[in-house]
Amino acid sequence: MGNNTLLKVKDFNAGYEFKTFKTWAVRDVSFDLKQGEFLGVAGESGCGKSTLAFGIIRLLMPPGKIFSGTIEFDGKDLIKLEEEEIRKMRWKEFSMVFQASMNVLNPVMKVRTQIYNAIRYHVHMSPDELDKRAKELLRLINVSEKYLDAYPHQLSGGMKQRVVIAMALALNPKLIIMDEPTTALDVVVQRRILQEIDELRRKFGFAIIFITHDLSLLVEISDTILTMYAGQIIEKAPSEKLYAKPLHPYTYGLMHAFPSLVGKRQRLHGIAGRPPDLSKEIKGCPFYPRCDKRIEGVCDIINPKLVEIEDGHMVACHLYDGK
Amino acid sequence: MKYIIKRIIFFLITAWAAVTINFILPRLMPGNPAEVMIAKFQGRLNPQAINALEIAFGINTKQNIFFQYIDYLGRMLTGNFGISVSFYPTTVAQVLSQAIPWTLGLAGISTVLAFTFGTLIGIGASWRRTSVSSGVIVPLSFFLNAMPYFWFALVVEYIFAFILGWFPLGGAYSSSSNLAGLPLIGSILYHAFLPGLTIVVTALGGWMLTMRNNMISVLSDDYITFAFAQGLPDKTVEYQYAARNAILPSFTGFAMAIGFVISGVLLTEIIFSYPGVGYLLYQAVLNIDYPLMQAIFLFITIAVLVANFIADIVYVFLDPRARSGGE
Amino acid sequence: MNYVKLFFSNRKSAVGVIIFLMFIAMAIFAPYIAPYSPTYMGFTALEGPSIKHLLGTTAVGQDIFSQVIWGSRMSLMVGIITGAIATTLSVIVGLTSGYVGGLTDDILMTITNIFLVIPGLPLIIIISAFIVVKGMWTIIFVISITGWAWGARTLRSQVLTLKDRDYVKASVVVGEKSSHIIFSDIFPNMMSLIVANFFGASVYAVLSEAGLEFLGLGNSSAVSWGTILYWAQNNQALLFGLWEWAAVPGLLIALLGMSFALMNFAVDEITNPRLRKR
Repeated sequence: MGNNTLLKVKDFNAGYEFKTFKTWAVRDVSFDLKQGEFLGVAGESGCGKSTLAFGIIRLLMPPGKIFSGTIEFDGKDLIKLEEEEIRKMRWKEFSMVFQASMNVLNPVMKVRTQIYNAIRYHVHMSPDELDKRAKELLRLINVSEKYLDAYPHQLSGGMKQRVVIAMALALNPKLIIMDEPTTALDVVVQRRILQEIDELRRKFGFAIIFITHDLSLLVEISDTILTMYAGQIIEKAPSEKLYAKPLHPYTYGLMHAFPSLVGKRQRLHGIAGRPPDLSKEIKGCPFYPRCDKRIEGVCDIINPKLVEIEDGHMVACHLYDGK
Repeated sequence: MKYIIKRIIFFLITAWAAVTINFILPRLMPGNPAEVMIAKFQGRLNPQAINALEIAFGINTKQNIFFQYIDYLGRMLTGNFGISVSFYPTTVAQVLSQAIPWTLGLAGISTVLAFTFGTLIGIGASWRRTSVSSGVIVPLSFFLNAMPYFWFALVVEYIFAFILGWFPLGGAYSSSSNLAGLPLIGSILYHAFLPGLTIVVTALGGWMLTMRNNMISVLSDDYITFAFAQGLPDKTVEYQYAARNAILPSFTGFAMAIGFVISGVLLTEIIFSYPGVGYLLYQAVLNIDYPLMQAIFLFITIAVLVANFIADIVYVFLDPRARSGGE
Repeated sequence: MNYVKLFFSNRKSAVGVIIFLMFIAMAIFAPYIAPYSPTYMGFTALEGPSIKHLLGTTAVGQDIFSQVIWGSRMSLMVGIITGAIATTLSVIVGLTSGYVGGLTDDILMTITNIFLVIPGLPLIIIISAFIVVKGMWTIIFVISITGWAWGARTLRSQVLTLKDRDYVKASVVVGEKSSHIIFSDIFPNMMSLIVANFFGASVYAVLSEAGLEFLGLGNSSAVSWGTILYWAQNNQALLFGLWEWAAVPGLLIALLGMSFALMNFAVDEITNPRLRKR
């Protein structure tokens, strides 16, 4: 894991715009990502994490839109690049693994052809080389070679997702964004795939942005975790620190929403209420209505900024003002 | 494989249904069907015509209706359609066999052209969602689709053949000089141009709209976004990922589309006096030549079934999910 | 849902509605708009357009313009009534087939597929050749028989999808009567598809009626756009240079059909938001 910064996101705003209707799904998001780092992004449905993921690599399809900000990848601002320049960078520099429930494989094309396509529009390889590489990739994700000539509908859900992961690795990118890659799969398969992903990362050194609503998944494998709420980053810390001491009330709530498998029976804490409407402007802290530690007169007026409280541990919360 | 067997069974059942409709229809009227025809046209039929009609209806008043039916089926299977009333004493089979090649040629080529161009335009119109495509091409294809074929044929004939004299008014080829070989082929193409153009233009709209709608539906599918994420070139995603999937419903909906093409071909042949099956049907109706009408109806139905069958087979090739029996 | 607003929200469908309403007005106020009776044969035959006869006269001295105006009645009536009947048939077959399923479904679908494959126009021609009495209702009957199959199939697909929806399953679990489920849960959600079907069937009906009349298989003594074309063709209007005789009725048929398609467009875009321009 190098110390160079691979990705620098600054004041990023994105959302959806359709005629007169506009939502800000991602609000003033800023963070850095180092080479080879495993960054987990956690938050509930609708908090903007998928929009962030697609937005970073300019994959937001209309009515999705990037409003403002800079995305510095390896020194280049992705937002300022031309379509064709970005297209050339795609898959070689960064790739993406979509949600497991989505049908991302072309139903009428063999697996082999799809893997080939991911490669040959960026790198020239002979048919033999392509064949070798395809087989190699399948081996990496523990899928039998014979499925190269199968069609997507002949594969199980777990296998399809593995194939997608294999495709994402095909050109040895520097960054792979994974949006809920294991959510639709059963827990056993989920765990196995997560382990495989981590092994591959250690082997090839790519960075991962891993998006999920399940904080418990991240705690074990991420280097860093950031939690999002209402389109904003509300906490960011190395995973052990976050696990040991979640500072933001929301993160605390997320952490304690899951019962422990061992130990005494505990009272579960849910988080009452629901997230704010992102098509409107929000005054003050977005978590204010649901927060049991809110400070009236402060939290409802001023939106707390993301500040570093302890070494590497950042949080956006008025509870820590002046610390 | 199972899919193909199902389609074959359907083919046979429909063919049987068509033959049976042909048999039942005249009998739905009270009385002897031949007598009904005679009464309808008040003695304008000569005795031979009446005889031909009785054979065509399979009326042998001595047998009961069930045996008449079996008899009738047998004759249909052996191609014995009786003797044509309007072309007496030529057999219906002979008359029909002379007209078939013209229709197959005209309709076959025109349909292929209409399908190809319609589909390509549909792909283009959906990919670039400009105001031109939505504001011009779509309403235009609505108009083309709603336009009566025969009217368009009349307009085309009037402008290009009558007024401008660029093309002949009708017929399949010039019968003036004894043409053969290449000049004959040239004459045939020359005569087929306007009717062909009419069919292509009127059939185009339907294919275009279907393809455009299918493409738009496919474009919101996840594998398209994934294809873009991989940085695949625009054209590749357009054709290999989007169009390749969008075209599938065109084949499953082929039956409906062919029905409209048939109407178009029929009416166009009539306007241009093109000696195909459609023109023949028109003459048969005017002359109350029921044996001929019956045979033509059967032929058209079988032709449509065959076309459908071919479309089904092509579909199996195009959609791997159909092969394994998956939905 | 505010249907009026629905049709006017989209520019294309607004155009469609306006054209359609103009035709309705033409049909209803025909006695006031048409200068003469359509069947009166006293004028000079085969005259070109003039102030007195905006579209000229026929071979037997009738005013074409009056015919066109009055003709809108038959064309519209046949189109709409046939569309309604065919749609009703489609709904009954499609709903039954989709909801009941099983053997009923198989049988109904086979019958539907047969009617779908057997080409419409030839079948209409054959049936018409046999029918002795050629009134408007026989024409409506003949066209309806051939026009319901497509709708039945699409509606059945929709019923199958809806049957799977949670709120329908909930009704089943609660023990609602089938008739209640069909009319309260399924039917309302199919309205837009049924309306779309109606428009499609009506276009088909208008074109088929014109085609039938044109071939001389309809009621040639009636006045509809199709019969005008029939007489125009039979009297070789084009050869005489009286192109308006043939061109205008055909154009009106196309416009009417197009207006249905445009109105349908609004329904389409509402039910399938992906079709909207992004």
